[in-house]
Amino acid sequence: MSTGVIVLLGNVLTALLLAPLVWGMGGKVRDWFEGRRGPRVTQLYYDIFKELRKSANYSSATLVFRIAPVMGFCSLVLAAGLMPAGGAASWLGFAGDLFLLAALLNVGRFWMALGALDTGVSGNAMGASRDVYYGVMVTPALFLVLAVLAVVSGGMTLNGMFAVDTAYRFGCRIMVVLALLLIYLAESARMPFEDPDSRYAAAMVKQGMARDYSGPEYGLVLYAGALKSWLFASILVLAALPVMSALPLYLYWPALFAGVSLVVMGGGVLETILGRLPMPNVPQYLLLGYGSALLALIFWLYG
Amino acid sequence: MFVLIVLIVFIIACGFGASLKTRASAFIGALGPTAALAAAPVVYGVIRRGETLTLENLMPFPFEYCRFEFGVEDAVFMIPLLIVGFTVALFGICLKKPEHAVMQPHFWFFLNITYAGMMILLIAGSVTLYIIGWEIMSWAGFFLICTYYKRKEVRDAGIIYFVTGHLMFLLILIAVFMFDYKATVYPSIIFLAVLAGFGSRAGLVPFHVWLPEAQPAAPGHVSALLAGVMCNMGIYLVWHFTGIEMKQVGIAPAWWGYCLLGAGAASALYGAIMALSQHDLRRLLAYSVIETTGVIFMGIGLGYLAEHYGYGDLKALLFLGCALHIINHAVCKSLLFMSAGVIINQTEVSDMNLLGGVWKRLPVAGIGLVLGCAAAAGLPPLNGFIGEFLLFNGCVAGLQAEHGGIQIASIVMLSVLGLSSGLMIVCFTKLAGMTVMGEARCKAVENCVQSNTALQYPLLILMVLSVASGVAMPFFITVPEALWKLSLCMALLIALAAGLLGLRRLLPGAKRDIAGRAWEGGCQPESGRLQYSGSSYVQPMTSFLKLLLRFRWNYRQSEKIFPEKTELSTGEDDVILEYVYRPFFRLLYGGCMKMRWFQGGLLSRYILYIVLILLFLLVWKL
Amino acid sequence: MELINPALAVIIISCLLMSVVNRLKNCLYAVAMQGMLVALIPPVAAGLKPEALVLALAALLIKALALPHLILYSIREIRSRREVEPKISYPLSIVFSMAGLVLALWLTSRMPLPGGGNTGYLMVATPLFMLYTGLFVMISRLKAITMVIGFLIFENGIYLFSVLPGLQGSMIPALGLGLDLLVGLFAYGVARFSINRSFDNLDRSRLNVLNAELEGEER
Repeated sequence: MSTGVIVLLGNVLTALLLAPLVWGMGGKVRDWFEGRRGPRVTQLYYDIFKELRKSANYSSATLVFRIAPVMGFCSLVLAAGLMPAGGAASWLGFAGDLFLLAALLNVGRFWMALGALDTGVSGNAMGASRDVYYGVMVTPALFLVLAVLAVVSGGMTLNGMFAVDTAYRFGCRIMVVLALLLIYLAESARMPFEDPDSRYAAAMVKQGMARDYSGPEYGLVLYAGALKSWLFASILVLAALPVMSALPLYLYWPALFAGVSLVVMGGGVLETILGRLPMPNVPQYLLLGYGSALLALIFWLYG
Repeated sequence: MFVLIVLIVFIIACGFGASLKTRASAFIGALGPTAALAAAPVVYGVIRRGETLTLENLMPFPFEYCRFEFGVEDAVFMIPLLIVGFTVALFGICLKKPEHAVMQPHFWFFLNITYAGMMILLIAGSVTLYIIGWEIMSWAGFFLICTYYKRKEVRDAGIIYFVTGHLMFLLILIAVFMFDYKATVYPSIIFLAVLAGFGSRAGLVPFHVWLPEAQPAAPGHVSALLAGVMCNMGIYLVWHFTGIEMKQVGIAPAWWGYCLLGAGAASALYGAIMALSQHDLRRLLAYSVIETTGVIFMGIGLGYLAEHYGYGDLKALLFLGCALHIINHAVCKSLLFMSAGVIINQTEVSDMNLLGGVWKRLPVAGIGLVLGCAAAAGLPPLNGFIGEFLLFNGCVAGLQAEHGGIQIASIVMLSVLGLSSGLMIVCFTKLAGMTVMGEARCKAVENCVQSNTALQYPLLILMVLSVASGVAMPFFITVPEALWKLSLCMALLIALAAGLLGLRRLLPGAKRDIAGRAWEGGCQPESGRLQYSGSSYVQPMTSFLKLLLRFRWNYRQSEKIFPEKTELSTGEDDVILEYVYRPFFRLLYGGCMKMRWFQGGLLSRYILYIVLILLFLLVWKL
Repeated sequence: MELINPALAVIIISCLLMSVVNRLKNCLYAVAMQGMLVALIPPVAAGLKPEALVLALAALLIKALALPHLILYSIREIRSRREVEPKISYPLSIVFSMAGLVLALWLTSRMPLPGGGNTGYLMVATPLFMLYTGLFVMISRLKAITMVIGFLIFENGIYLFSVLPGLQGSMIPALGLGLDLLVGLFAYGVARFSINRSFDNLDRSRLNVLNAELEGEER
């Protein structure tokens, strides 16, 4: 089997198998800070299996409601399949696949918003409205960050972007990491953009969209949330540590797991330190992400 | 080439035939665009072989011999014309009820004439023919827009279209005459006049003001034709002119590229932002057309700059991206407009804040709208994504070029692409969500039934094309290596989703799935009116963009202790129409009214004017 | 030749009188005298040929007799007030007339005259001045009937142009008589439709009302 296929399968499998674990680890860090025991680290696995065994209640919604979590989940799986590993490109990789990655990450947002509006419940619609609002500000930042990485590497493949021998200036790298961190926090529904533990409907963003799901669809929603977190964290890790792509494949995935866990746990620490931002103040932080990416580009081009 | 000319003549004949008020007039009228599909092999051949068909001196005209030319770019623009034209004709035939919406013979006549005008435009090779084709298209298009001329708002919208179109035509005429005689002396004026004149038809800000007015006024399929094809003609002429005509003269300064890019960026952002706050179904779609035009102009601008500074591959990539973006978005915008047309036809409601739950009552239109929105938002696996993909890659390649100007242009284009992509997701989720999803918000929608079942056929055709051209594009045109893999990925996504949906059925709990009441946050809304409305959905964005949007918010608050009846209404107007055009025309009107005394109505006064002029001439000449 | 210049001078004086006469009947006497002179000058200037004499007789009958009577008849029919109602005050009218005379003379001095030195200065200036007077009368009077008179003067001026050497054999006199027919039609029309002032219902004050109505409708 060619390296590409190994990379593809390995990425997909690690993502699918380890994402819930990492999600649990982030939750555990937060619980430890807040002085409680909280659910076990592997709780998300149990939740997903439980949901998969249940039957669903579709309320009065249409096909879109049922398709939405599936589309979100599949797009994330495909995105995971696109990522390179250890300096080798995935079998699906091609010149320009970075934009496909960015777009796939948006697919879930679109369909989940539609599904939320489908239930006809205002709370879900509110969550959807806020989620797409965040999306407006995160999308240009993500595009620009990926463009920066591509320019620095001189090519247009995901593989090349994260390669080790790019002459990556320090100022540029810091800005990229900052931007990716903000994007990660926004997309994984972490503080300061959203409180993942909140039960208060009016405060929910991504959770708000998912309130009316039940059964296997809900399981997919949970799974997709964990996958998204994994994906954004792994992009952050690969961008911050280009040395990862010099590792041989059997070392790469453990290293990735370690890196992603670190990021997620660091995110947990941040969550306990920062409070939730009031909605009108959210744009400036997300635009900060865009600004950092822009600065990174300027540093690279003219620094 | 002869095939095309014969087809044009046939179409015009069909138009005239259809204007006879016989029972078969609809069929004769629809025969024109259907027969035009016979041009498809010619088009395919031209694209495949990359050749240019020319024909000269066929009919000696009064001014110059006419020259026909049909090259690869013309073929690219012919594709949406063929597809959309055919589906529009099909839609028109299938529109049988309600009575007042059925297409009259005059509609078929003007449809065929517009179609013929557009074909003339595409096969034209000399300036006179371009102008002839353009004017035929404009005039016949005006009458098409006013198909439902008995309604006042349709007539008003038609007038705005007409006035804007002909103001811009004045600019075009200036450009054409100067081009013939003084091309080397005032190239900038020619360029700006061309950009304003043809760009106005394409939807370029700030000359776009007719588009949001005309789209809701026209019948559903005519809106599709307008958006999918007529706007593209504007783009085609700007592209053709700056790329080819001026190159023949030898003038192509760099600032034109920046100008195109800037105009495109402004249009993309303006279209996306204005689309947010609309509550009329088709106005929102009109603004999304403006946004698409903006993106295409950005691509053309960057490609022009790339060619100017010698980056041939970059230019090829960007132009390919523009071409694919145009074709794909023509298909998906037409799908959207036609689905919206079906919905409005069946429910007689076009306000998104009153619609809802259409999927359950008009399933095919609902599916069409959702698929169209997903495609137009530029998301995989549907076809709207391909053009954006190539344009994005072009931007990144532009960043990697060494020229500072191109780099800055690429940064701008990249940011605008990202921003408009995000905004379009908001707009299209709003559109699809408010219209199709959820519950009905008014009685008319609740009680509507599917009476025109034949209308689903044009929609189905477009839906299939939407999905297929995303996945199967590389089979038809020679594309770079990357697009094969892209299609593979998109097909994989569709396969994965389908597989998961199938697996879902096999899960143990599947047999006990129910469709009962959901939790609904603990409250039980009895009426659909308690749902989120369109304005609420975009409220975070509109409050963020308050400065630009001039969103009208009328709220009569109740000050008393016990609740009493109160009202909230929101509204939005086109910023440029209200703050630039209308004041300008009001000033003009005021000035003209002040000059009314000039026309006193007294004969003696008119004689005085004549005498004065004659005397002046006499004295001058002596 | 010596007879012509005094005749032309009298014509000029009659035109000048147009701007001062108060009563319509006096206007008509002046116009009739003018018409008589205008009819008689061309045969005298061109030599007494039979066709010229016939033409002169016809012109005399029409200009000096028929038309003034027709206009008088119209005045009585429409029962209009018997005075001229000028828009410009009388003193100003005089100024404009004088200015017209000066203008005519100046234009004559600038024009290349046909026939070399044979043509007198006055022979070109007079028709020009008559044109000017005719137009001036049309412009500055409010009544429809005075417009007809003005047009008659204008047409007399055109007729007089046939005196010039280059134009003597031409169709101008005959066409001029056709124009007289037109004047007659005007006069008849004024009588028939009782056009008291030029287009009564488009009087200036009424026009303002129309204005206000339109503006009200727009709002």
